[in-house]
Amino acid sequence: MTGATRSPRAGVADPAGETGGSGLAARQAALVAALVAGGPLPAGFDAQRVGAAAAALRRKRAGEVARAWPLLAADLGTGFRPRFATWAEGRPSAGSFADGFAYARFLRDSGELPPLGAAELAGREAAWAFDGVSPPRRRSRPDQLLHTLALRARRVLVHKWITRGK
Amino acid sequence: MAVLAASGDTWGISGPDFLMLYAVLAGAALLVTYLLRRSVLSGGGERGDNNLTPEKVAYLSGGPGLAITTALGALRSHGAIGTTGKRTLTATGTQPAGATTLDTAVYNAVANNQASSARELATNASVRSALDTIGDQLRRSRLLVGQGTRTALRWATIPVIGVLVLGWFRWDAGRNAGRPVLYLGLGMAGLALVTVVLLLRAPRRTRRGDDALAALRSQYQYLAPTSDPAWNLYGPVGTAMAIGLFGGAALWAADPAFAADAEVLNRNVNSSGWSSSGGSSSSGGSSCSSGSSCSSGSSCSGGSSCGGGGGGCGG
Amino acid sequence: MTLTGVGIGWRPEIAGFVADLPGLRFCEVVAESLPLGGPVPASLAELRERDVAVVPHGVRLSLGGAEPVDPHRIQHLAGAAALVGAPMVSEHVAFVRAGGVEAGHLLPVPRSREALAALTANVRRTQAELDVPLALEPIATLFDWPDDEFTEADFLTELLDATGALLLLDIANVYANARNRGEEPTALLDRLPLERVAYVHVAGGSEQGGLYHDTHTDPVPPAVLELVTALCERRRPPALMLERDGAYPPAADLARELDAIAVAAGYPVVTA
Repeated sequence: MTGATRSPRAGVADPAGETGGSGLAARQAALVAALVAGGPLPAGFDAQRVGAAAAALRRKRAGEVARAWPLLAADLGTGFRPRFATWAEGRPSAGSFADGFAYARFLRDSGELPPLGAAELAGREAAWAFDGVSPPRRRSRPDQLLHTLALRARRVLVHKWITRGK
Repeated sequence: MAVLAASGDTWGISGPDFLMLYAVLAGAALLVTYLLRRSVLSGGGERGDNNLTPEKVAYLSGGPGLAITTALGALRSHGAIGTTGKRTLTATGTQPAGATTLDTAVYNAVANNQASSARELATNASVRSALDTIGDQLRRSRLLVGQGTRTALRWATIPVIGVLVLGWFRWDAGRNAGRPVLYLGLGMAGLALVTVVLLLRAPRRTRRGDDALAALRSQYQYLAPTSDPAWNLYGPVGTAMAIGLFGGAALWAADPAFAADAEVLNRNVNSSGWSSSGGSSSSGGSSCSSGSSCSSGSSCSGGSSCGGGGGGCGG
Repeated sequence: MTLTGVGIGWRPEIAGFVADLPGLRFCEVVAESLPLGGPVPASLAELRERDVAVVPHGVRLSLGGAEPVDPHRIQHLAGAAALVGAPMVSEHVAFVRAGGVEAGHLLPVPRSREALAALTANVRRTQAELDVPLALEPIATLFDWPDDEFTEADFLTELLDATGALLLLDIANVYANARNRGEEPTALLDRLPLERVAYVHVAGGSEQGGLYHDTHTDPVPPAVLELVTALCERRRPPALMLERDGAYPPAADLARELDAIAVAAGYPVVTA
């Protein structure tokens, strides 16, 4: 994730070690990397427990993505959380909206995106510009009109879904 | 109509003078008509009909179709009905206790395989009977415009019609006398158009009905889909009230898979898909509610997802 | 300090439920969910009109991080307090980001002198911009850092002594940590400065894979309620609240949970 930037260290001299040395920062960074970015487990930590914590983090993230992408989550049903959690391993979060966007695209590209989720993705592809790296940006009106291809794709998908059963 | 020879104005009033007089008369007549309509549509003095059930609210705001959706939502929330995944409604449990007449009719129709979709429910006899009862109650309570009110609305147009008739006589007299009648004719044409619109136009709800809905929407704002309510917490009655006040979008928010398979109409959803804003994604925007919080790339830009962050300490 | 009795964590999802609690005297709201400069969400404003105290609870300041806490976040917290006329604010003894990566959750700090110094500095920076007291909440964690120099109780006490901050005691976290460390929960209670407790969180969790997870999306287990009673036997806190973040049960069940907390603490119920 490249969205957040490191905040600058305080420029004040800290003879009393007020702001903490680089040791703390590095140790914390290593732990966060191990938990969300697929980094190596720092020495001395209980692997099983850190693994459990990482899994819990991904489940929590899945819940947040489900709220941002309700149709996708509903379409995948109870499988949504475990499947998202698996996909999210080693991928730091970019926010639940962006996460869901990326995940929906991943499902689409592997042919596993179910119809309601596809419709939700299509609608958002038309309204938001997302390159997978920077945060999604709302498209301007003309830009949205240019994406009517996506609208048409959406219609086809919904029509496919409507006619699938009968 | 015998007229004086072309030596004087029609009726002794000059053209421009008459036009001005006519405009004033027309204006006055329109005002009187407007006031009469307003009074007829007010629905009576007493304000605040506080015992509106969700299905009455739905019928009031969106008509019989929305009332059926409300019943579907309530029954679904109780676990009494579901869909088969092939756009067919099916009974998944027993009829809940305390079901209304409409709920019962809808449930029975589904359970007895008499109706498998919302469209078919709308034509089912006992469902229609329950809907008609609701409509009658709302008309009796002067929340909906009834037949008597509609007739009264038409009678309220009399002043304008009277002015039109006067104009017709003037127009006819003027034409026979060879006087210019173009402006009068144009003015009358405009007035006639307004009259036709007034005669045909009858709103569904009285002002009292509108006020009741507005008050309820304010009172139950927390049930709006954009407020992201916890549907399970508010239960079947809450879900039903949300549908009644905020439309099919509430059922889409509460149970998207069921709403999709039951083909519930959502004004954000047209037959070919979602509006380009992503429809219900605007509520998904709770995770992305302002540009700045999105661009910071934080995983916790919205309120409740942060609540999950703060709360689930170490979980 | 005007926090008394039993309260609840206000969330938009349960706004209607919270509005209907006749005896409610205080609630807590996630500070980051309040827009800087207003407006206050309508249902919170109505609670304020009823004289219900609202406490902004920060979750993303990352006071335990090595870097100085972002001044904008401090400003937001102070602004939130002013917006709702809060009697105090709260945050966590934790960090949420490091190395430019968001963890997405509260993580424990190493209980080292270095971390204590960083925390103290950040807390002081925050307090400098606040007009109201700050309460600090120790978090639940599934794992500990290697080479911890302090026990949890000592670390907290040192921090509170150095900063003068209040303690937001999350009794569910106490339970979770004790369970997962194989310790006695009351042992920690006995070594905490209970006189500094401003209010208490009570939350639910579940057991998964042999570990107790403080999920905030499960019912409050009886063991946690027993711990509430044990706490009150030692020193009854002025206020306790139910903290629930999702998977809400039907209103009647949630009301029962609130009542159970009241009963366990010996306070009047707020549901009637």
